[in-house]
Amino acid sequence: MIAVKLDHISKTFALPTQKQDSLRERFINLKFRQNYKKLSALTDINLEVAKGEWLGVIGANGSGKSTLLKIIAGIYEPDQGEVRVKGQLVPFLELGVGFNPDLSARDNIFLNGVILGMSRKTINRKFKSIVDFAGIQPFINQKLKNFSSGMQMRLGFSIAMQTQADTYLLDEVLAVGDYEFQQKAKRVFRSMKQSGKTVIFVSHDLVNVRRWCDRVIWLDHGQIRSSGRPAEVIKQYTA
Amino acid sequence: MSKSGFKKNNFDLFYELVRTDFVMRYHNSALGFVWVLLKPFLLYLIIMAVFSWLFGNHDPNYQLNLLLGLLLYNYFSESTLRGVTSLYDRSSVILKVNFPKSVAVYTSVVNSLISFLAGFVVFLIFWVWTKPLDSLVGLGYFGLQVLILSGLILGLNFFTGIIYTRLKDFLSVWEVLLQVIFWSTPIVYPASILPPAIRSLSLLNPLTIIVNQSRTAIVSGGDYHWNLTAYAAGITLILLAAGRRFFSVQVKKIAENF
Repeated sequence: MIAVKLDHISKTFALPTQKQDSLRERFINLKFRQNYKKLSALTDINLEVAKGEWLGVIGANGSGKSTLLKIIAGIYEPDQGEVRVKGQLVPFLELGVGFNPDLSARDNIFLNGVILGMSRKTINRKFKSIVDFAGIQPFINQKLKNFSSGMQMRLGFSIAMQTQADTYLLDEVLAVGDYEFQQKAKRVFRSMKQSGKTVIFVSHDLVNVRRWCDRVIWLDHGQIRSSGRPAEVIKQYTA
Repeated sequence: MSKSGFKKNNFDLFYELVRTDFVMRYHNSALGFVWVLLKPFLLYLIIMAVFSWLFGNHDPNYQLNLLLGLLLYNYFSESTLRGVTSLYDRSSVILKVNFPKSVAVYTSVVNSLISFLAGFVVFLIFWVWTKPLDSLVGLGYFGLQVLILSGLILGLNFFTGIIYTRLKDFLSVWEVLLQVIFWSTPIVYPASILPPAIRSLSLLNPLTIIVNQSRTAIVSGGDYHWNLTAYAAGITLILLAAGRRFFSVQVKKIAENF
C-alpha cells in the first residue's frame, strides 16, 4: 500500500534579486517591477513511499530537501504534478510550532497541540504523558521564555510524539536534547517503527539515517540523484 | 490530499488562537482586562469634552450617539488592523504546518468583538443614566447592525490579510484609509451638518448606515430604514463571498510570500 505518492512534482521559486518590500524603495529606484530570478527547487520528482516505510532524504544544503517535505505537508503548492497522501499526516519541520514565550508551558502545550491537529480533549487526556515525557512537571505553570532552549525543544518533541498520524515528516528532530532525552526519543522511534508508521526523515546525520531508514534518496539540485538501500546511497553521497 | 485531519479540531484551534491573543494582549499589564472597559470610557470622556463643546447643542442625545459611534468605529478599526497582520503574524506557523489559515482571519475579528462588547457594557451604564428612550426594544435591530458590521470586517480581512503578505506598505495605507473612513462617517459630527447632496452620498458608505441605524435603534428612536440595512447587508454579502474566494485562491501561495 502506498502512503505518499509524488507524481512529476516540480517547484520553482521566483526570488527577488534585491529585496524590495516597500513602495518607497521602489519609488527611489524608479521601478515598480521587481526583478526576479527563477530558482528551480525541485524538478520532476517521482516518489512512492509505502505504508510503514521509513524513507531517508539526504543531500547538500539547498538541494531541495525541505522544499520536498513542505510540498508533501501541503505548505507549498507544487507548480506541476500531484501529491497524494493517504491517511493523516503530521509534519515536524520544527518542534514547538506556534510556541509563545510569554505563555505558560501548560498553555503552550494546548496551543502547539491544536496547531498539530489534536483536539483539546485529546490533549487533556495526554497532558500528563506529555509533561512527564518532557520532564517539566515542576515548571508547568512557568512562562516558556524561562525555559532553556533544550527544555523547550524537549517539550515540543513530547507534544509532537502524542499526535496520532499515519505518516510523519521529520526534519532533523533527532538532534534534540541531552543524552537521556535522546534515549527516550529512540524508544519512541522504535515503537513508531513497530506500529507501522510511515516516516519521511530528512537529516544530515548519516549515522541515524542508516540506522532508521529502509530506503534513502539523495537529492541533488532538486533532482533525485540516487535511490536505494541506505548503505549504498550514503556511500555514493559521501564518495 | 490529506488535510491533516483539521476539520475535527477547527474550533479548538480557533479557541486556542483567540485565547492566546486575548491573554497576550493584557499580559504584563497591572490592570489587565480592566483596560477593556477603562479605555473606551476614558477615550469617550476626552472626546466628549472636546466635541460636546463644538456640537453639543445640535442634539440632546449627542453624547450617547457619540459613544455608540465611537464604539462601532473602534470595533471596525481595531479588527481590520488586526486583520491586515493576521496572516503575517502567524508566518512562523504557516511555514511549518498546513493548518486552516482562515481560522487566523476569524480570530482577528473575535478579540475585537470582545472589546466591543465590553465597551457596550460601559455604553449601557451611560444609557441607563441618561435614559434617552423608554426601552431597549431596538437591541435586536442594533444586533443586526453589529452582525452586518462583523461580516463587513471579515470580508475586508480576507483581502487585507493576504495583501499585506505581499506588500508591507499596506498597513500604512490602511491606517490612512481608516482616518478617511473615520472623518467621512458621521461619528463625531452629526450627519445633519452635512450639505444634503453629500449627506445622501455618504449613505453609500455602509458604515454610515450601520452607525445611523444603530443610533436610531437604541438612542435617538425613529423609523428603521430597512432598505438601507438591506443595502449594507448586500454589500457585506458580496464582500464576504468575494473575499472568501480571493482568500481560498491566494492562500495556497501564501507561504512563498514570507
